[in-house]
This record gives sequence, structure tokens and C-alpha cells, in this order.
Amino acid sequence: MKVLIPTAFRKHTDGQAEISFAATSVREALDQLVERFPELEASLFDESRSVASFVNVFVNEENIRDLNQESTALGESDEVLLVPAIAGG
Amino acid sequence: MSLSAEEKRRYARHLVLPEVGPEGQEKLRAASMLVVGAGGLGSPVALYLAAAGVGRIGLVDFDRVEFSNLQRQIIHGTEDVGRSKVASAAESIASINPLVAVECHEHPLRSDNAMSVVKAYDMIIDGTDNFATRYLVNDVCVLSGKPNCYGSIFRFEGQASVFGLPGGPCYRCLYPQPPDPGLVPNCAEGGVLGVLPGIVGTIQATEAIKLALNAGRSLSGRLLLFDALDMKFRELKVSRDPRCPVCGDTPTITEPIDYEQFCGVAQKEDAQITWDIEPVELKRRLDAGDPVVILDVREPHEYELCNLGGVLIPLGELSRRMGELDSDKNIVVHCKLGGRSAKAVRLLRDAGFRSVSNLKGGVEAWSKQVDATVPTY
Repeated sequence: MKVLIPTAFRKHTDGQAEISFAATSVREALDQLVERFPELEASLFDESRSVASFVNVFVNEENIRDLNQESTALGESDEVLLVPAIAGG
Repeated sequence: MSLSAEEKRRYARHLVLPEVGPEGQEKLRAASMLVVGAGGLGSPVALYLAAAGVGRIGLVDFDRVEFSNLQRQIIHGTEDVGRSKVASAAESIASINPLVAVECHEHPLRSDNAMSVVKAYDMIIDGTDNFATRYLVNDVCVLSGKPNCYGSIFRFEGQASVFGLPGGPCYRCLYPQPPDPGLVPNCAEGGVLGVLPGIVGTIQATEAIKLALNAGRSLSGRLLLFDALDMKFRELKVSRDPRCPVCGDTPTITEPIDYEQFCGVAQKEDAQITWDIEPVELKRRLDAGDPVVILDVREPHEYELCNLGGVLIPLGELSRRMGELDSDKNIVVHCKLGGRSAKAVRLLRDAGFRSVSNLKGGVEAWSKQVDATVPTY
């Protein structure tokens, strides 16, 4: 599966916009991602290491809140999108 | 009242569209829309709503036009620099379509005035540039039962949706809480492609016009993401959250709240005011030869534009790179305007640094008050 990194987070992923690796659930994918890019943690997780409330995680086009939250299962061809709040106008 | 001969000429290309026609054009003329923010997004929104013949347009903005706005805020011209944004925008609208009535609200939208401002309009178009006003606009729209045509932008990316329609989600359903101040850079800090608000703003205007016409399928329930670098649109599903504090089944927010506090802006500034140092005071200390370490917490590209010769550690890297600083030294932290550096001061003080102050007003205040050769951006 593939995680798509938004512009706002790319400074924490050496500029990478897409990161492909193997993970079977959203939780596992996010944990692996933060392990690889520790600076992402402050932007992605809250103090209890849940996904922060100003970030939405979508699997393909569905919000994980409407699926099985962080336990949402991932298949090989799934795309995980991180969509943080932006405020510019 | 049917359309005048002048209106029939002006709106001829609308009138031949079956989805608009004379009845649709009359609906647009009867419509009233409030554009919050006459900046990057507000510019194309207001221009296109006016050209389309929306009868009454309200503009909310308390800012003045600056040179750095002109790269994207196309409702203002070079000769408007220094003028009030709403006055400048009203003039552009009058030039495009004198049949439109423009109402200028030259003040900030606040908890104590937003309900009464919004009341006079059918729908709201959110083109604001900060989280506090976005949550205010959202809550006031939900509480007043008015749709909110939402758009926001950052660097090369944009988001658009329609919130607050019956059965549809609101902004809080999508983002229950804002990020901590300083975590997500704004356009002044992070930059923005000038044409980006043109794309996102015209999507907002399209949705507003569709709502007024009651035509097509609304973006309500869908979040549109746009990436200009990839030239790619993505559509994501957004559903109403029954537990949403403002539009949910048992709402706990029934009137506008304190959004500065909700977004963590006000309280931090108050608590930190004693750690502020005025630019002239820093200059005096440097001239007197005091050993002061200047810490710049902006991004490298901002440092390249102008700097005070300080040590550069971007705010996002500060936690990790704190060890590079000597906690016994007098440290003065600065950024562009003072927001990120306030966060850095807090981080360093929490980590045991004893003498850390925040350069009040950042490099911009330094340029204005101490050294005009330092360019602002």
C-alpha cells in the first residue's frame, strides 16, 4: 500500500510525496511511517498517539472514521491519504 | 420583476443555458452572498459572483492592500496599495457590474457581531486566512442555517467543500479541533502559488451560484482536494458526525464561542508577554556588546530572503536540535511576525532554558523600527 504525504508534512519526509511499504492496517501503516520519519509524530499524532483531530486519514476516498477507525484493514493496492487542516485564503 | 433589456444583454450567455435561463438569472439577482475575506480566495469569488449578476454581495475585511497581496489578490490593483481592501474590491465590482449592490463590512468578524452580519445574507463564502475565523464562520453558518461555501489553500494545495446544508457535514465534522498555533504555517510563512486561490475560489463561486440556482449536485458531503503541482483533483467523502458539537444530534455549542481561545491564540500571547523584547531594546543590547544569541526559527527559504545573522533552527526541528544551543546563554528568538518564535520560547523554557526572550513583531518589526535595509516579505 501507499501513503500520500501532503505538502505541509513533506518537510518531515525528506520531501517525499508518496511512500510505499507493506502494512495490514491503518494503525500499523502510521506507526511504521512515524518510526521511519520521527518528526512526523508531532504533526500526525496527539498526546495519546491517536491521529490528531486536525488530520483526517482517508483510505482511498473513505474517511477511516466512517470505516473501522485506525483498525481499518489495508490491502496491497490501497492508498492512504493524510489530509491536514489548512487555513490559508 | 422580469429582466431589463440591459440585463438580457449582459447575461445573454446565461439566459441560453437551460439550467439558468431568465428564471435562474432572476434568482441570482434576488440572491445575497457574504464573502468573508477580500484576499486570495475572496478576489475571484467576488469578481465572478458580481459578473454572474448576484444581486447583493457583502464583503468582510479589515485589512489594507499590501504589495505582497498583488501576486494573487486580483480584485486589487497596484494603485490600491494602502487602501482599504473592501473599498478597493467594491470599486472593482462596480466596474465589472454596476447592477450589483455591494455592502462593505470593514471590521473583523467576531463572536459578538458575526450572527448579525450573517443574518442579512442567503449564504456565506469562506475566504478567511486563519483557523479562528474559519471555526467562527462555520459555527455561525450552522447556527443560522446558512450554507458555507468553503475553500482553503496552502502552497500548491487547495481544499473546497460546501458545509452546513441540511443533512450534510460542517467544518467541525471534518476537523473537530484546530492544530496548535504554529504547527501549520499560514500563507505568509509557507508561501502560496498566486494562481491557486484563482482555482479554489472559482470552485467556491461555482458552488454558491449552483446553490442560488438550485442546480446540479452540490459539493456538500464531498471534500475536493486540488494539487497544482500534480494537476490533480481528488474527491473524498465527508459525512456529518452525529456527535459534532455544533451540528450533531445533541449540540453543545449553541452560540458563538471564544475562537481565539479555542484556537490557542490568545492565551499563549498573554502568558508570554513578559518574555517579549522590543526590537529597539535588542538593538541597544547588541550595540552595547551584550552577549546575545539570536535564534531564527523560520524556514531556510525565509532566512535566505532576509535575516538578522542568527542561528537558524526551524521551529519544526527545534525539539530535536535543542542540544545545539547553550541553555546558559541569553537567547533572543525571532521569526517573521512573532508567532512561531513565541512557541519556540515556550518550548525552550519548558526544556529548562532560563533566559529566552521573543523578539516582538519578528523580523518585520525589526525592519520597520530598527533597520529598514532588512527587506520584508
